[in-house]
Amino acid sequence: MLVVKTSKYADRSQLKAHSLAPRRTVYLPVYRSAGYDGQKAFDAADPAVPDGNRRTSTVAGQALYLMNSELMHESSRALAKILTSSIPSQNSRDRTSWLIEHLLGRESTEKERLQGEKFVNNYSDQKEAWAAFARVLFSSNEFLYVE
Amino acid sequence: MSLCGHRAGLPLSRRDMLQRSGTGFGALALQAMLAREAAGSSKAPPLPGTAKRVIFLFMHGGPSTVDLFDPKPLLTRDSGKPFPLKAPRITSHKSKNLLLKSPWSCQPRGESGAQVCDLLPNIASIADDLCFVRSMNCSNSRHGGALLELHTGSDTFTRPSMGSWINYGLGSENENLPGFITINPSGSHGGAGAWSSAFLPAKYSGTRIGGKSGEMKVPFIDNPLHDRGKQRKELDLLASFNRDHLAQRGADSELESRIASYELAFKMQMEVPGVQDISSEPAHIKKLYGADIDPTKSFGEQCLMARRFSEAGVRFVQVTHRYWDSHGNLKKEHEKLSAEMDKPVAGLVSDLKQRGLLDETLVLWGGEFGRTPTAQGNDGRDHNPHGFTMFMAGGGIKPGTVYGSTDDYGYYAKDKPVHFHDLHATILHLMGIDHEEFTYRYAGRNFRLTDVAGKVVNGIIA
Repeated sequence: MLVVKTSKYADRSQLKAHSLAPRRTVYLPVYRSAGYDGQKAFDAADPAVPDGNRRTSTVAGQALYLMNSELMHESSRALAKILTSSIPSQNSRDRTSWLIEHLLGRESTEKERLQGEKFVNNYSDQKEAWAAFARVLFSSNEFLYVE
Repeated sequence: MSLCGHRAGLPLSRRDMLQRSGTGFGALALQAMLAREAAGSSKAPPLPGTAKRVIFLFMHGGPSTVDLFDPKPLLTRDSGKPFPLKAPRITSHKSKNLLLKSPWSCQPRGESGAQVCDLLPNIASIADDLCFVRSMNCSNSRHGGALLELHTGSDTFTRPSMGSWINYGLGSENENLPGFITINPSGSHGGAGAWSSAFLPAKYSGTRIGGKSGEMKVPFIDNPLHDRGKQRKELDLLASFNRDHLAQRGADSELESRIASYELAFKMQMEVPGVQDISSEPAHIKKLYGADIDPTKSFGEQCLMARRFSEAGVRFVQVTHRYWDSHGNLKKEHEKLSAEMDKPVAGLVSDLKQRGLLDETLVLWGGEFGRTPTAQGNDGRDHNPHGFTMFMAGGGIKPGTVYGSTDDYGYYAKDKPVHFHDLHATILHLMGIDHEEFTYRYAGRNFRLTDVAGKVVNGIIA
């Protein structure tokens, strides 16, 4: 028989630590009497009852999370870093194309390339500009919703 | 939000119906509806209600109301003797059930003659505006269970909080603010369960304003860029991308709501900090709440913030004061807590009254339970869910009233007992909602805030 110490992998008092672990949420312990803020904001299922038909919502609190959370800002900065090393030329049309291809899995349109160019030209700092552009794509419906 | 494009939720199906009715009337109605939903617009209550908003002053831990509002001559006389009635089968701690007289005394106050403890001179001075229910009771003697029972009606399952129910029923009065705000709530004893919308749509869930005193905030309200202009440009580009995406896919209410949600979030980001900021309040108002000096500063600021949110149209505002759980050190702890709480509470009621807001704002004061008239140790009292006092003001409640009673020692609700379910039924009634008609279908049946219980307490309604 496998013998494991109580609470070795799942400790009710360590919710915060569990949520920060670099693992997919499917590996998070689920407590009937508690939950995680991020999951709750995005309609995690009620663990107390069978839930065959997940409820979904679209609320301003979720938008605030997408606009201002550390996760979104860190991820967009990290992506901008990859972008600038992948496309070392400062050509903003090329960079726009690269970002759209990598995040949305399709070719960019001429309109998007123009918009991208115009958007990043507003910034003096290129790193900041591309992080902002990446954030826009991360928050876009096309990225968030899968067919 | 669904990341797989699959959406199922009863209240949203109306959108699909309208969508399918083509581009004519359906499209127009859908547009109007989406705009309203994004705004969370106000709905008229089904019945004529007196209260439009609720401010709930929650005393976490369980204040000893037998000391504060429900004096018992026999408890004083028989102090030290065994409690002569049968003690509850389940108690929080083992006890010899010896009676303990109050370390303080109460006096009849105002014209109503309601009893208020000497520890609460400011509340005593407004006794004629208050309605004391001395026969409150609930079913759970533990903090977590009782707290959830008070907030949601259930001590066993995750159920919507009363603030969520009220917002679901009546909508928000201010399109730029959440309809349910809870200031400084406890993370334990039910935690987020106390302000969760549970099975109701997430937009009705409470927005927590937490953090250190003086630095309390809505989660993720601060933009890390500290640059509203730049963020606005990001949102404009985002909106443009989203519109093109939508145009390719054809009408999709989910995508449209998501677009609208960014605009509401941006407005909230601009409006919330201003409403929350009490620094613009004149000195005499801060003084009225005790928000100027200790020991009332912290709770006074929170009560003042609550009034500002309520005044701006937030349906349900809760403020939590803690921690009244005096198993020991009753005398010292309750004196400290009373000194922190008394002036802000009386200040809030007086301020609402002078602004003409008290008639339409229901103020509710109370803990998840009271405390036993019997001793724990020689200077403490245990949890008592069997009989305790809560008080209310405004919103159509009968002022200067004392309702119900406990037994001769203050242990059990005796005359006209009021359970939390009855309290919920009464709050809904005051807001123009029949608690038996107000349901939400979930997990195969209709649910109510009062589930299968609750009677409106007509004796406390003006």
